[in-house]
Amino acid sequence: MPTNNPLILKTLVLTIAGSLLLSQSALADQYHYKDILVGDRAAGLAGAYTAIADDASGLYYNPAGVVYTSKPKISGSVNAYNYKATTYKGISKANPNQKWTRTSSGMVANYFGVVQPLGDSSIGFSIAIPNYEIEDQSDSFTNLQASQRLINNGATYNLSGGATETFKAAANNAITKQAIDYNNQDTTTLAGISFATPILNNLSFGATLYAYMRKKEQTLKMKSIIKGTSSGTNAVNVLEDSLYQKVQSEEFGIQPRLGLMWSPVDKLSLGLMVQTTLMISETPKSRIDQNLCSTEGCFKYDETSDGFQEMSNTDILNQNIGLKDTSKNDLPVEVNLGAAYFATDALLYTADFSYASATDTYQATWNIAGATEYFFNPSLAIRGGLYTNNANSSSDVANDLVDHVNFIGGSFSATRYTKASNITVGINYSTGSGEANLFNSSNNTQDINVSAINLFISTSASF
Amino acid sequence: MKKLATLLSLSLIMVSGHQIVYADSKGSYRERLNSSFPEPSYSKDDVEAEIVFGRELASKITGKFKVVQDDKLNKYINKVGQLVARSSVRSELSYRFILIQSNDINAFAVPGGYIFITTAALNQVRDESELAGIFAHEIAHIEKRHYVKKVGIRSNKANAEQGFTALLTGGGATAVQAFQAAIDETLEILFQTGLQSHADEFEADATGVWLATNTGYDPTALSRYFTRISKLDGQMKTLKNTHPPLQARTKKINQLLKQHQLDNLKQPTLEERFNANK
Repeated sequence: MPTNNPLILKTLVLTIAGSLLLSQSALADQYHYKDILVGDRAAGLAGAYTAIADDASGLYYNPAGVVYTSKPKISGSVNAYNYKATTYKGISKANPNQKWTRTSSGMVANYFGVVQPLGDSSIGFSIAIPNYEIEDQSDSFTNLQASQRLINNGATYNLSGGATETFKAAANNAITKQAIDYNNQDTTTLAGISFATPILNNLSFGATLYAYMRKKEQTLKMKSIIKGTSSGTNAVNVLEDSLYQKVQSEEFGIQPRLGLMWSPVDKLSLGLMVQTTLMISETPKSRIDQNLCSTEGCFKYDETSDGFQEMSNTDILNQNIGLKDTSKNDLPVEVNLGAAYFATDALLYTADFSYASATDTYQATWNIAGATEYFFNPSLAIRGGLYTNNANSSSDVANDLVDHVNFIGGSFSATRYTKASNITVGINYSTGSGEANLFNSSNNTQDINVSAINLFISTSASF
Repeated sequence: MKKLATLLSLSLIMVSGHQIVYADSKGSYRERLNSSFPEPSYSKDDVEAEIVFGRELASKITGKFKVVQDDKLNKYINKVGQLVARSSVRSELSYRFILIQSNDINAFAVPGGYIFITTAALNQVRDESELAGIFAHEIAHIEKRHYVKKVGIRSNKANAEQGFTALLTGGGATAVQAFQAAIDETLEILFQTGLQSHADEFEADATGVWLATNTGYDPTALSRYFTRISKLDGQMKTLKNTHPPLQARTKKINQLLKQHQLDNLKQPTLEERFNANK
């Protein structure tokens, strides 16, 4: 069970309009490990590549496999189009039909690798982008229902003179207008060198040392106009609720990947790859501002008193508008086991099982993938497979506050070969549903549906 | 640090205590159908480009090494070489066998049919079948176009401007540069790096054994020669740098001989004729 959610605001902020509490970094995919399947052949094989790994993308999947690269090889991938749509349904109990849709799309060259045989050993260099997210939401709504809590109990705010007033929302369609702007950019890049060597007959060892770099920046702006009445002497019948939230982090570390490749009998290959990330530096920070404005003035959310306060000139001058430190990211140890059966020179079957350990940040999770490859002739091959992409968050979304979506995906690719090069076009599609907790609420979660599609073009060449 | 310690321990377990022993069959079942991608056919212009390229390269080599001026010996080694070459599938080439002065035990082939043997290598030969075995190995390199493929000698290399045909027809500076770069690369392969793919050398050994055998020579000749010179470490600098270990090559040749029962084939070694012409 996660004890610490990085980059998620845990401040108990009362968003008048959003119904209850706002948190959540949406479906930022630090919560899944198989978001982008890198490589050309590997992507078509649903990432089930731990026991194959005998080309440049093997530097990522299992460096021990590149011992079987007979010629210097270079491999590059371009995701021609990468699209993901996330739909949140039942945003609040007051508005069960309200939906939020966030989309992420973009183009990214997610892999470059080069392998050079050196006698019986091999060396290599590779760059991989296993996570790439540019997520946007731009929504506007009218005539939404306020929460029962806001209608019955209202929101309180403190005037600078010491008086406390309560604003209660109107019973019907209190939120006359609401606008949401959300943007999330999250990219993980790995770059490093590899070495692989045979250590016994049919047994090889390989290591890749990646530099790990992650950059994340997420902002949310939300504005709502709410009708109602105040308890004060001055008649207040409308409030403007403004929220600004920012989360950002830069992480740098090293990610060693150690692999073994063993062929116990002819045509059968077994692979093992273990990797983890050792953080050298990370700067997770966040900031949240929320203001209620009415004809009586503006009231700023105060974290210490967990309420809204009217600000004096001195308060405004002395306020801290900088980013605050938040909890750090603790990545797991991942163990990947693979088996591949090379039935003929035209047909192979491959399967992978991967396990990621629990950390202070994430829960333990596992994934499986299975795929097949078939050559119609020396110049044309097709590949297809299925894979899971399970969440490393708790299914108890109400308590642990992080979205929980398990994906299942399929891959298909076709490769055209020439004597020394090839070009691959393919598609990966995954879909999943689960639960989200957009407002850090123990009794109001949302249904979430996610579909992701990745059209890719890759090339490899021997030289 | 705990995670780092775990990974380091794992890697030590993986590599400790294991002597490096590597099988010759490097996961051959991994070869996919595309590895048998048909070689594009070679046109008349491609062969012409190879011959022009080989001629230029051979002239560079004869400028680097002194060619032995012994008419009788040269005539003899050419006779032996031509005899073996007759069994080669590349009848479109005119083979030439050249003896060069060098204390380094070595023999090598140049595209287009030029085959060189050093005086040090010839001094270790004990009979005609061994000389034929050496030439057969080099002819096999030419037959299999190992250097042609490695350097990419084609009449239409890269583009018309860079292609060797452009050179033949008085092409421009780009063609000359590409041609010179290919010459330099081949010289580097011949005298410094080797073909790198050991598979090419093993293939030339096997093809050479069959060539010499089909010509009528003792099939075990090349194996005998390798066994003898493998004890002369100091005189094989280039050979050691550019070829797989002789022990491994001898082992593979002996496996081939045994597999096809060639080791029982009693074919002539022609020791007397060799000594008479040496």
